[in-house]
Amino acid sequence: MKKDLYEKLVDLYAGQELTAELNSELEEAALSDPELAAEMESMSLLVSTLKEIPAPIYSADSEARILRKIEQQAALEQRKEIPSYLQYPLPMQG
Amino acid sequence: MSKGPRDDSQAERRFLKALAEGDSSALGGLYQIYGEKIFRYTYRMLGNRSDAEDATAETFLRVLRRSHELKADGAFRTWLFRIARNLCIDRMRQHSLLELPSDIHYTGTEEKSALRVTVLQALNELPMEYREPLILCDLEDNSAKEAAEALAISVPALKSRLYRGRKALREKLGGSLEKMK
Repeated sequence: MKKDLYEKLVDLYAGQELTAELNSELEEAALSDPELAAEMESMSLLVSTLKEIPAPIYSADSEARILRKIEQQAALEQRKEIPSYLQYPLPMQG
Repeated sequence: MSKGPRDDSQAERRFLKALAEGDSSALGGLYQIYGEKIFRYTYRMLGNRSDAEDATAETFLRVLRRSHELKADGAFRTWLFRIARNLCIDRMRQHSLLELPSDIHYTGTEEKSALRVTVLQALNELPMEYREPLILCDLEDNSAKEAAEALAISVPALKSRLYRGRKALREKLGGSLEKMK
């Protein structure tokens, strides 16, 4: 019964979401349960590796490109909103 | 001195109010608060800079288009992430193949860097319902509550997906993790 609970707690342990009390209890249980210890180690390694994946670089160039896209598209949409009767009529052909 | 979350939330309310009243320049203020966060999230989801820039720009354009409906009620962040998420999902349906980011700089030992690349590759192969919680919580360090709100699910459901996602990722990685022990 306790083992089932520990298995569920491993995920929270790896995500460092357990209370200090439960953390110690789980670590103590792992001392006499090699399977649980291995589970805790591999899950912790996985979560820490995920957290260490570097964030994408948000460069000044990226920011400038994004802001330009917003400005250009917003200006385009604003122009479209002008009612047709206010737009300059095209010269008749022929 | 850097600004704290409290400063940001006061500024957010001010910008939202101004935008709702027709001052479109307030969008720039909201961009300063959330632009980088949205870019990083969309980059993690889409895997390349160009698509992430497009999705970030479109996210803020949608804010501008619906500016008259905006309310400074604290739900803006969640709404913004949901817009970004939907745009990413649409884009991913268009290009079914997800590329590995080529301009992320890995530091540390060669083995560690190789493991991170392997983990990222395996993460990209996970079903969306597992991938998203891992991106939001483990990579982008959002709280369970913030991630659950962005995904429009309950916190227990988020935690369950996170648990299953980590297990699925570990299974996918097979021996790669064991070698690092």
